[in-house]
Amino acid sequence: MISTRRYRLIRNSVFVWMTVVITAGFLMSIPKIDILEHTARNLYFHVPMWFTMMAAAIVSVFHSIRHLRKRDIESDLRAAEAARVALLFGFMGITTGVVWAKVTWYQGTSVWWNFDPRQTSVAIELMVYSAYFVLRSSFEDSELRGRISAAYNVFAFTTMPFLLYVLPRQLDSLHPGAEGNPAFSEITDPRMRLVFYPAIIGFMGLFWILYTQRVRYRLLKNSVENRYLNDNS
Amino acid sequence: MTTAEFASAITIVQDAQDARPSQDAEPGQEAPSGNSDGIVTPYDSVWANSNVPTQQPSGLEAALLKEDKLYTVLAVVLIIWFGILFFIARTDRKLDALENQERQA
Amino acid sequence: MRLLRSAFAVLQKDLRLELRSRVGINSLILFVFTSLFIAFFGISQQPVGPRVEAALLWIVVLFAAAIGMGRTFVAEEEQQTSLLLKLNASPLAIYLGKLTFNFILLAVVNLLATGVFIVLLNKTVADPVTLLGVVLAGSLALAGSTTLLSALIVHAGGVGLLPVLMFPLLLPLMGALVNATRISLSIPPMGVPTGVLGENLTTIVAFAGVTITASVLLFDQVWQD
Repeated sequence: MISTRRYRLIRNSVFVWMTVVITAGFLMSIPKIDILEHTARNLYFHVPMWFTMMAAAIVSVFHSIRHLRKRDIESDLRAAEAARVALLFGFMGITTGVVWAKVTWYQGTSVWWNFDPRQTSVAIELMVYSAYFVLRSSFEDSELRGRISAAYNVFAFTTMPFLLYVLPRQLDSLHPGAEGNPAFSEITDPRMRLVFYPAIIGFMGLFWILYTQRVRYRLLKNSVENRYLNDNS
Repeated sequence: MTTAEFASAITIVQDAQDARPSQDAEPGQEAPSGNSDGIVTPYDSVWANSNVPTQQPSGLEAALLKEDKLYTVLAVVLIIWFGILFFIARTDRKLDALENQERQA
Repeated sequence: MRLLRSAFAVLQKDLRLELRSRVGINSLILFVFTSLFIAFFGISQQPVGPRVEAALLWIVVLFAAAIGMGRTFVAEEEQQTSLLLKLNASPLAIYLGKLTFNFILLAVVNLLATGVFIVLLNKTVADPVTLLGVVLAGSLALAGSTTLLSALIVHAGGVGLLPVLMFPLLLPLMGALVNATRISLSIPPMGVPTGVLGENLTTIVAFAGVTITASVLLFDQVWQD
């Protein structure tokens, strides 16, 4: 576990960093784009949700692989908590996306949802991690739970390239960067990238804080439970 | 709060309530923010007919109104953000205390 | 060589057990037949496009796989033969044997399902060889992705969990299967450029390859006590 002092330092830096990012996200002038208007600023907040979810998924599968090698409780807990925060960010990404799309792509229609490849793959990720937690909850034995759920996490992760590379070829997309649409770099003003990239880093830092908190809580819970078991036996 | 201040505060509230269009009023006499104009009608910043004195926005208020009132959204988001930060920091402190307790046990 | 021989022994044992009672294959065939019948009876008066038809076929097959494959390792546990299996064959051999058995089972069921589908909907098959290839590749991909998952659920409280674990993972495969089936069924004049068919077939085969490779690497960890 990271030392408290270093944790505090990183945490406070993330606090300041994100406050600056949020403020800049509102204050920096942006190019006037039809349909998007001020909602273009959602780029700083909606898109990093997806990046952060992917980062959390990578952290989760990393600890699952570690658990399969070392069979320690901590890496299993870390995998589970990273997956939990990934669920949180994925859910926030998908809901903010629905709200944003409603007033831009689907403005004036009754459409809320569309099987866009990115929407679909985030929805699939949410289902996979929900299934992961259902699987976890079906075990009494912690050794078995760690081993089997880690195997599922790794197995599910190996199918991710299909979500990232195959799904976009099967479905049409309105997202930038999809086939026929201008790439992200072509439509994004350099001014906006000045806030966008720091926002990604900031949200990943926020993920790290939440994840570290949850891991500390789970380790504490574990140690309290073990102590009670030892005291009572 | 003195009694006099309290009384005047009540008067303002009552004035404000009086200013709302009463339910039995005839359709023609309703305030201009009727249904016919839809959401295009700008919201009044002050209740009609109330005795609250109006003034030119200045200072913080003027800042909040700039850019289609975008800065108001910034203020709201920042308040929420600081609330979350406070919450995270508090949880950290509680975890610290528990970890210390557990180490000693 | 020893690996292949013991994998073959596992396959042989499963095939013999299956042929003795035929309960697994018969219930699966009946399942796909009745559910295809119900599905196309439900929409019989309403002409639907080839895409919807292909999607219905593969949804039925997907559910059949979710039911049929879940028993792979649960049955061993129930008959208390899993310990015997562990002693007599390496995990890899067991996996390969089970995978082959599941593939054969699914291929038989899927071929029958496709036949029923063609008869029920009075389809003319434009390209039978491609359709056969799609069904076989689809069976392999389904078997590849479900065999490991069916080993995961042995101690996790039963067969009901398998659909929850497998359906999200199979979405990209589903799209490719539906597209490839639709193309191989459509009559050439209104056909789609061959590149699209090749792309979908590649996706199916790649999905099988990726899931089988991952399963081989992970099965060791799952199959031990």
